Amino acid sequence: MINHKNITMKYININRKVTTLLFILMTFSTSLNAQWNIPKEAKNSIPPVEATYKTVEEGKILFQKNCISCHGIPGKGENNKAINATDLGTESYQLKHSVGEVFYQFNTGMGAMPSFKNRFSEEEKWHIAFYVKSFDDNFKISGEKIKTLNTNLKMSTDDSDKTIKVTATVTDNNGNINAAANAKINFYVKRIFGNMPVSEDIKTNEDGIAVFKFPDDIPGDKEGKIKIIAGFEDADRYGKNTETAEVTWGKALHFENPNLKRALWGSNKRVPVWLLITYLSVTLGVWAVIFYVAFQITRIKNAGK
Amino acid sequence: MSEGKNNVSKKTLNTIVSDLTRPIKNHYGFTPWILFLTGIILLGLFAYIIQLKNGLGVTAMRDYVSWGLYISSFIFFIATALIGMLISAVLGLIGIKWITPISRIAEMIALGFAMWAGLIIIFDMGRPDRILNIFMHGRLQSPIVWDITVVNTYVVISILLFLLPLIPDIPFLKKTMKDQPKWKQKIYNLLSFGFAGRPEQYALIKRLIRITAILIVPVALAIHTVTSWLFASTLRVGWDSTIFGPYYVTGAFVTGGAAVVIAMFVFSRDFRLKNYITDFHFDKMGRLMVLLMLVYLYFNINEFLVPGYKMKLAEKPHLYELFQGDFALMFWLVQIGGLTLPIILLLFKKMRRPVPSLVIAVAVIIGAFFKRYIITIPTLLHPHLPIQNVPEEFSTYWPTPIEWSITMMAVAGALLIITILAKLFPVIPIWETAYEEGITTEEMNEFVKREND
Repeated sequence: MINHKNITMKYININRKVTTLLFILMTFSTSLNAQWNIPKEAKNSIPPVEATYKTVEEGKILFQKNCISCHGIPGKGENNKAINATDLGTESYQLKHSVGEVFYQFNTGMGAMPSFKNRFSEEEKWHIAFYVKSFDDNFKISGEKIKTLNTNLKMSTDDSDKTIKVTATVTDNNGNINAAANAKINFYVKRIFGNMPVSEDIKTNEDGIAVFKFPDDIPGDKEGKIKIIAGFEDADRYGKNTETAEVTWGKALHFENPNLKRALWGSNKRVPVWLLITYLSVTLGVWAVIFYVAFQITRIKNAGK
Repeated sequence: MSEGKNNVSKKTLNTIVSDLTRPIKNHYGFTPWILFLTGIILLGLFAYIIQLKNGLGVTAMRDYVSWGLYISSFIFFIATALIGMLISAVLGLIGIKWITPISRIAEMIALGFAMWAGLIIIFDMGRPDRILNIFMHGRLQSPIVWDITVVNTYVVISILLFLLPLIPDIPFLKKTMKDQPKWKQKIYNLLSFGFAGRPEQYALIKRLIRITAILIVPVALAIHTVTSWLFASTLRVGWDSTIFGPYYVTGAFVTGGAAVVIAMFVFSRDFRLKNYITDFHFDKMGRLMVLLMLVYLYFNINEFLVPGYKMKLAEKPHLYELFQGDFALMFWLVQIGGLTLPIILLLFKKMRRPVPSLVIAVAVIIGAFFKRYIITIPTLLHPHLPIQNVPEEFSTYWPTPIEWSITMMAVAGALLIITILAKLFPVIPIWETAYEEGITTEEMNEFVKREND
């Protein structure tokens, strides 16, 4: 009895799972083809905050964290075509959508595009809309453009405890050198295809100094050598200058060259032993019999004499 | 033993010897045939010189199809050569008597085709001098090295298996060929190895035949299995198959069987050996062919039904190409006309008579030739990594006249070897035939000696 019930339950469970899956798939597939239905009032809605270079910058940071995975950087064609995500930097998109409409889309969501209504504050949502519209040349941004500061980075490494110290300074218009305080510094390890970030949330203190304890588990080259790169996260404000240092803090890599062992893909010198034995024993065995027979043929003449 | 019976035996032996050695002396129709073969070979040589001079560009082979008519002919030749093993070794070892008059024919076919198979590989090389590289730098891991090893081994064993049963026939030849040119008699002297019909000599030769017959079975299986591995050890669609070894071996028996039927017909008519290669032998060969073709059909069904049922993404275009695409006509002609229909027809006793047998065997052997073509070329037309901006000619292949000429030279060459062997030695073993007629070895010795006096 119990068994029977169990089987039935299992069946119902599977059934339920399949139905759910089908439901999700159907919603998903229909939603991909759905159309935006933006109310008219959204078009002319007036932002409660002002679009300045500063708020656009705020929006950029949020956009990069939340939107870039599907939409990509606007105007670069990095949008995910498989789910019909739009490249928000194109002219066609910008011409059709006012800042209010961008806000509406972002706020409501549609199909694969989720709603961000409760995720951010009203202000933050407008900042994101500003950033998106900043790719429209006709969109007005007030205030002053952010000026890139004249900064300088100095890096020193300490082998004893594997720490990196970065000192960041700013030179103002008058030539005075001050500490760049509270600036976010990112640390990277150089890899073949780009730089791998290894740090998180490291900021300079009031003296412009940031200290980073290097992790123990980063693979280096054969000798454990690693190239560390430090730079400002906000390159627009602090500049793109970076500092590099080479240390031997990485895990030394030991990998065997697969061409140096006996293998099917090796050279003839490195033929696998089993193959060598098989080939030689079969070939020599057969040829031994051949030679035996050939030798016996020469003995026909004297056989029985 | 009464005087009377002895006389009957003598008479039979006399007939046997004169019947079987007559074709060696009689040159009726021989010259035109040799001229015909030589003409084809000269044409092929001319084509080969052009190929040597201008390179493989004169063939239709390009980057996609790099194994063309030559390699598919190579498999066909190896396949045909395998019949020697089946008839003289396997059937001989299990004691089947009716193979006596056709075993040497099968062995001659094996020799002719095996020798030229090796040469076809050379024809396929743009730089034939580089064949030496395989001996100097060849890797034991490569199936090509195994193939070279096993092809050469098979040729040597085939020579032994041809020579050994020939030795007891040599005394008869020495005696009856006294009017023949000196060089022929020198060959007979050389090949007699001092055989004088002593019982110990017979025992030794029988033992050596037995050893060689046993040895050739695994080697012959190896030769065609390794040939199939040249294909199956790659990941290519249509070749990437675990049953390629037995698929090739059984296919080879079908090909060689058909070749033997054709040769039986030609020899029994042209050499007037109807009393030795009789309807009975054609009937037996027909039955054997049905069995061999059924096994081959079984492998064919496996080879196409199983991947066709799954239709893996990579195999789909290949299978469609064969079933209903560019190769469909050739594919179905080969599978139905060259395999299925012959099986059905040969089930009827009337169809196993000499003339229908010949027609069916010709259909089977043509089918077998194009079967190898279908195995080799369509796969290559679907490369794993398509090249960008491919020239139009890469994606199609049809052999050029140069390739056909060189391939025909190989066929003519194999036939020439068979012809020469048939003109030097009796195509049917004298001593074995006599032995089966109840003539003892002493009587044979007596026959040889008495006439010598």
